[in-house]
This record gives sequence, structure tokens and C-alpha cells, in this order.
Amino acid sequence: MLETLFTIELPVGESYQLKRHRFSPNEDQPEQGKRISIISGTHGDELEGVYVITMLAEWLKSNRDKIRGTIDLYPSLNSLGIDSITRTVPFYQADLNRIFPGTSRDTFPNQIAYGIIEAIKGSNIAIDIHASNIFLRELPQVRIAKTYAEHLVPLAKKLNMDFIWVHDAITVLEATLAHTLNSLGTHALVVEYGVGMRLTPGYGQQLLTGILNLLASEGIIDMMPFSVREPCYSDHGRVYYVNAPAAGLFVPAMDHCQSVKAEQIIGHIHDPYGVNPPIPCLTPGSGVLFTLREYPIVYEGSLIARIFDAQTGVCQ
Amino acid sequence: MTRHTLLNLASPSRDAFRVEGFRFAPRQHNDADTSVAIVAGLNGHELAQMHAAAQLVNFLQTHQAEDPHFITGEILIVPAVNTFGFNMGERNWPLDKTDINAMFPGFDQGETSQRIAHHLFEHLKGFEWGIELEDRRDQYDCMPYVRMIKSGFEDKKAAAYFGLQFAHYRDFVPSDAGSLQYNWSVWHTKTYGLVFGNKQQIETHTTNQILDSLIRFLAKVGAIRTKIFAGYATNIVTQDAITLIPSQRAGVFEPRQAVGSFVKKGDLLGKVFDSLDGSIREKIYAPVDGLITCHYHYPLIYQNTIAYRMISIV
Repeated sequence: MLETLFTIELPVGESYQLKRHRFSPNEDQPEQGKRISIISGTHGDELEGVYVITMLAEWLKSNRDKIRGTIDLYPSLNSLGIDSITRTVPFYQADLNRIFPGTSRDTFPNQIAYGIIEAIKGSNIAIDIHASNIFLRELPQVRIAKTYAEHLVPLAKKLNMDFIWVHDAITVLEATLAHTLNSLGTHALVVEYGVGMRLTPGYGQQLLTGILNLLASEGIIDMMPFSVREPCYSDHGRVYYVNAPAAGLFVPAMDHCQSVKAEQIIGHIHDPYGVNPPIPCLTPGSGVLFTLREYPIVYEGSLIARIFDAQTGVCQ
Repeated sequence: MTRHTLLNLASPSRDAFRVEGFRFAPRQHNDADTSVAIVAGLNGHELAQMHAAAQLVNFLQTHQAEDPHFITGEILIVPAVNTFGFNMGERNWPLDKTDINAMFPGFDQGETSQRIAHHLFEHLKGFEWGIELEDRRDQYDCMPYVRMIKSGFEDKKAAAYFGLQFAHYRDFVPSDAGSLQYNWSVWHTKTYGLVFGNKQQIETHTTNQILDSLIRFLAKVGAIRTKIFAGYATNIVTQDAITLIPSQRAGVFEPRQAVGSFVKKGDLLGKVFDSLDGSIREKIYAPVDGLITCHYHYPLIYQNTIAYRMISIV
């Protein structure tokens, strides 16, 4: 059932609408069983989650008899941004994922954030799907703040992702959708993969299998759990960052996701005028190249790569 | 006065990114009574802020040339940080659109805007007083005011040294965590935000008012020796004194009361027209007596957007 949960009048002949596609055993009843919300599109340049949600909707429409809980799909939270390749909320240039929980009477982005929380709160589980931005390509991963790791890591392992990254809580991230939902009692997971403005269909299929596995494991769909991969887990290793040592044009010499050893060349930074020789960027340690720069122009400090060094050998 | 390049970062193709600072000190450095750092232009839309800071540089330089004892403290002024943003009409760091003023205290091994924040902050740490000149991120025309964030190191009394009509004293919110003002306070600098000006505009009257405020503050804390009018007796305003007045409808917004006006409950504040058929969708009235501190400053308004902000005596 497609519902419009709230609207905000725009100045000239249009309204912002928060829409959700709800699946439940009986659409005449408001909510049944466990409730999960699948979310994407807080950033208007991230389309990977939109694609997964379309595939999940197709699967659910074909398997209505298996639905035992409530599955809410929110593909395009920042719908003005999604429809116009705009990462932020247009006009205000506000990062929607930095202003939660929002307020009911304030700027347009704050009202959107408030309405989203009102719609989603009360869900048992939420999955907030992000692509990377246009600068970086990411391996399929789940990102979890340490504060909530105890409850979230077991759920994250069901999602068929390659990597679970538990990071320290950062104050500024308290204004994210996931943090706000977790603080309200919803187990909210952040999934990230691919690259901005593009689709990576293989990763989308991988996450779809993971979401179905999670739904089955939680009794939201009546199926045997799927076979999923064992992810690397950041508590059992370390993450290396590689930042550009100089400005220029970065040209990679490696493929994303490959295993690397220390002191290998990830790529070179070229001087556009050709005066200085290319500067090599080296791996600081061994592991899996789970982040690789996609957009070539770099300044000193631009992120080139991240490498996860698994010390337990559990990565596949 | 001495001019310093605080930061110099190579670009792939264009000129280097440079941040310039202007230092003033007494003839004998050991004689400095206090130290003050003033930073403007952390985003590339803060034209009025850059101009006010530059005018202060000019004022101090002129008076120091006339009177060698004029400067009595150490003063550092940085009129423009995001110079690339200024030159492109962009608010944020132009490549990745990150907000430099969300990156403090910075990280020297991090991404570019984190490195910019780090290197700048190395120059800004250790001052007794820190003043950030800034605009509002949203579309509002406001009376110039002082912003204080509760941090344990704020000095409420000295907020009145600027002589502006009010100072907004508010709680910390998570989005403050990466701001220069908040991080200054973590490093035990007593800090203020001076908020003024409309986006990408320079108004001479406001520039002069802020210039007076900064001169007054520098004189009161003992960084310069000069005579100046006392200014207003600043009201310290907390959240319970503020009334927010939203528009119930979207459309073309016509404000009918200027900022700085005192209004009575029931006075007409503004109208919202249907953008296409011209009919009046809403009349907005004052719900309380008070002073109008801000109004929405763009012809088109969204539904439920704050049209006016008022403060009242509570």
C-alpha cells in the first residue's frame, strides 16, 4: 500500500511528500508483527539504495503469502534531491543526515527530518542504505557506532555484507538518522556501498539477499534463512587510511576490493602541467582495499583509499 | 602590523590556496595586556564578515601608525579563510563541498578541509579571546547579535563589551561540535560569535556597526587604547525569551515589519500570497509584545517556516 505520510507546501504549485510503500499480511490492519523500515535517499546523489528497494518491492509483491510482519519502504527521503542529482536538500543546501531529529516548525529540511522520524519511530529495525559519495567507491559494509554495537552487530552479520565497521561515536554524527532512531529504541543499521550517482547492480543483489535473510531470521517473512557471507569485522583488525600527499590527478593502479600487501602502489598523483613526476601512493599495510578513490582530482589530504587488515583471517 | 600567510596549499591546476593573517602587537611583546583573535570568512558567502574584518585591519593599522602606544594587546585578524569559496560564490570547500567550520579542531592526516582547519587552529589556539564573524546559514535578516554557546568557559559579562542590543546564550547542540567557536572554548579561549549581515551582501551601515562593536570590545579588554561610545546595554537572551512565528502556508512572503521594530500582540507582521493567483493565503500577526530580531529574507517561503523571530521580556 502506497501512503503519503505528510506533506509540506512548497511556494509555487507543488508539495513535498513523504511516501512509504507498506507491506503487511493484511493491509486493512495498521501494523502487524515486527516492523522493519528500509530507507534510502537521505542524500540525493546516492541511488544504490533506491535500486535495492525497487527490487525488494518486486520480491514482496511476488511473495505476499510469505509476509508475517510489517515492511515499510522509503526509497527517496530527499525526493527533491533524488530527482535533481542534488546531495543536500535543495535551496537550503542542508545535509539532511546532519539535522535529525529536526523540528516541526523551522526550515524546510528540519521539517522533513522531523516528519521522517515521526514516520519511522516505533520500528523494531531500520536499515538506512547509502551509496558512497561521488569521490569514493566502497565495498559493501555496515557502519555501526560503538555505543550500539552490542545489539546491532548480530543483525549486521545477517545482511550479507563484506565488512562490519564499528567506529567510535562522533558527536557530530549524533545528528544522523541512524543515531536518532537508535536513541529512540529502533535498531538502526547504516549500510554503505558503491559510488555516488551510479548503480552497482551486483552489490544491490548482494544486499537484497541479506535483507531477505534478515527478514527471514526475524520472522518478518516465513522462509528459511538464506546462506550469507561471513563479513570482516573491524574489531578483529585495523583500518588504514591513505590520504593524498599532494594535489593533482589521481590514477589508480589497483582494482577496488583486491588484497594488498604493504608498500604496494595504489596509484599515482599526476601533475596536470607535467612539470613534476607522478607521485606514487603506497599501501601503509596489508589487507583488503575496501575504499578506493573514484573521482580523480585531489588536493593534499583527499582520501585515496582505506585498507582493512584482518588479523583473524575470517575475511572471505 | 605584520602580514603572515598562515596556510599555503597547492592546487591541481589553479593558484595556491592561501590564508592570510594580520598580527598587531605592542612595541614590546611582553607588554601585551591580553590577546584577541578575530576570524571571518570560514565560508565563502560571508562577504560582510570579510569586509568588516578587513576594515578593522585598516583601522588598527592606521591608528598604530599615528600612535605607537595604540596597540596594547596581541591581535590576530583573519579576514577570509575559504578564499576559493569567495572567488567562486561557493559557501563550502569547492571540491568536496565540506564545511570548513564543521571540521575543527581539524586533523593533520585527514581530508583537505580537516587539514585546513588543523593548520588554522594551530595559529588560533592560546588566545585569551576568540571572535568568529559569521552569517546565518538560513535565509534570515537579523539584528546583529552576539552568540554564546554554553561550554563552561563563556564570559557572559564580556558579551556586553560589544555594545550590541542582545546576546543569544544557548545550549550546545551536536552540530556545534566541529565549529571554530565551540573548539576554541574547549581549548579555554573565551569565545563569541558575532552574527550579522545578509547572505552575499555588504551593507555599509551594518559593517560600520560591527566595526564599532569590535573596536569597543578590543578597547574594553585592553587590546587597544582608544575612546569610543558605550553602545547598548546588552540583553542576555535565553531560549525562553524567544518566540518563533511560523508561516502556516507557502507562497510569496511580504514582510511588513522590519527587524529592530517593537511590536504589540496582534500587530500585522507579514502576508503570504498564493504565488500563482495572487490571493492572500495568510496574514501573520504578532502573538506577543516584543522586539523583532529576525525575519525571513527571501520572497518565496515554505510552509511552516519561521517567518519572524521575536524576543520578549520574561
